[in-house]
Amino acid sequence: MRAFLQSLRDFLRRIRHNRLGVGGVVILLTITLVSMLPNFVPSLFRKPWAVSRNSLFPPSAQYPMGTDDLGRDVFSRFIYGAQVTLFIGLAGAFLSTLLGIFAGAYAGYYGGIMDAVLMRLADMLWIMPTFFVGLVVVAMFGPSLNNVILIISLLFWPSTARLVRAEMLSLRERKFVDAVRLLGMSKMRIVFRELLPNVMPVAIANGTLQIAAAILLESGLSFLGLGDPSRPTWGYQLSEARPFLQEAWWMALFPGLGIFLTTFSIHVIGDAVNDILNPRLRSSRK
Amino acid sequence: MLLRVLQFVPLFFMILIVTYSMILVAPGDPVLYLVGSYGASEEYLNMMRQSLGLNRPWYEQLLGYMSRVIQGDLGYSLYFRQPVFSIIVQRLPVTMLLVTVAFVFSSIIGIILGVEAARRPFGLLDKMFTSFSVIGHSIPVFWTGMLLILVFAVMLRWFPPGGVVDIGRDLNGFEYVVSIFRHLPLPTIALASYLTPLIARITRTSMLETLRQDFITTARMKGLSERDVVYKHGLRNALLPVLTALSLQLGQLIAGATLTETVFSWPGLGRLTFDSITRRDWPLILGIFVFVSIGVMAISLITDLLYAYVDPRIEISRKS
Repeated sequence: MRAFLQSLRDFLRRIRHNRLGVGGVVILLTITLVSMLPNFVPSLFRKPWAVSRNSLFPPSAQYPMGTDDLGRDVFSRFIYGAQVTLFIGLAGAFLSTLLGIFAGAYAGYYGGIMDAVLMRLADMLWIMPTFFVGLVVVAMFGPSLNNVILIISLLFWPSTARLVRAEMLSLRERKFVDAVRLLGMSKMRIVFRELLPNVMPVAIANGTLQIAAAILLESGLSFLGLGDPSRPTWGYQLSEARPFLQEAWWMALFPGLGIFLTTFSIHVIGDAVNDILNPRLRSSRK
Repeated sequence: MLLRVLQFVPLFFMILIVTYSMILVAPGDPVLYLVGSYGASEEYLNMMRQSLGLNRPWYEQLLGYMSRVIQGDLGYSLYFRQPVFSIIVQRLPVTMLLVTVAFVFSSIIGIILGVEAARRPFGLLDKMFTSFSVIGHSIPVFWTGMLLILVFAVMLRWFPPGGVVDIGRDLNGFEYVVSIFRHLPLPTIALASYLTPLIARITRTSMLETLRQDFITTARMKGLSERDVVYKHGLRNALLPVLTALSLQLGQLIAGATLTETVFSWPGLGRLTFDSITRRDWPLILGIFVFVSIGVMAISLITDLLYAYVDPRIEISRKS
């Protein structure tokens, strides 16, 4: 744990020098904070599902992002969509990273038959067309929030597992592992206290990028009509906007912009994290 | 080589097993679904189960399903009242038109971009290219499509907003072709905007690797022009890994095509998927899934085999 905190502090010190990365952090923080606003000052916002007679109004002082076909306020739907979209991205990436860390650590440290089985499984998921697997599963089991998050984590864990496994394979041969083994530390403790903290930076960098991938996957599914109508994500709002493209550009513009800005800033942050963790790249860039 | 082909077999069966277990596990009784809201007596339901083979043990059902798929029988569409396979075959050419044009277009631009970026790593062009590829990576394809429709079809009226030909008018052969060409640019640009950064990034990585090798230095020392060194000696060697990497991204390409087709009402496989979801046409959705998965794996297998044929340095059986 101490090693992990140390590397985190190191990381924060370094990211300050990466201007693009800082920009990404600022955009992402802004979006996150704004999406939280309705929870603190609910009086400022209309209800995202409140229907009115003001159907398809263009953006104005009254409706900053216009209204949709049912007269709902696009702005408050945008904010609400940010909450749901970010939640799906974070939860999906978090679960898949957790799964990947456990699978990768187990396969890498213990090896043997479980290693072979887990890695063949990862290979298979790797070859399968991810988006279509998600599509079929969500279509069959229903587009609830939980199903979407679950399928994202089930589809995304192989990449983390591979990275963690490779790290584990090299780490377990190091001298310090021999040292703690001689001290009589149990296998579990070696994995959790000594090895995993060293693997965390790689897993976190990969997990960051998976937030963006999860958001894009969810948006695509929602756009195809596989979104939960009671939890309209940005992708779902875009699918609602498609039939009104000729009449109401504002319905299509803002949710898409939300997806773009979010995934863009996550990618930029992910690249910054990779630069910092990969010193070889860093020196050649200077 | 045979070994590589044999590896394909278990994957093929895995996909079928996964698909079929999904049918078995998914909530809802298929018989009740077929009967609809009218309801039926328990006796009649049992009769239907019997005739559909649903009362047999799961492994018998699974074996039956597998043997049907091998014979090209992917089931029967609830909406079209036609075999799934023939519907897919009908829609395939329209999808292939879009995908092929977009692929050729983005290959040319992507490869040139990737090569030029790799010539001076971390130079101005490379940095510009990197930021563009991050942007391209972050925009959902279907949103690019919507923006293109907004600007070029709704505002400027240069292109039609969707479809593959003008409908409602009798078109002769020539007009028909012209009409397709007027409908083609917007979806192509949308799909290419997604593919080009992908191809360019893979090309760049592969070129960086190649340009570092000794034979490039030799070519330079022979006094060849820099263009010949990069494009004739470098690119020729860098291109093969690009092909393999691309064949691994095939699933992504098809996902992109599906979303693009949905935005532009392009009547191919992708639009069919979208329509089947709205119509809750399960057999068709599953059929498309099996078809796409097997297609993707078959193409990646063919790429691998071709690769070994073109580049004798690669020995298939050794590859892990």
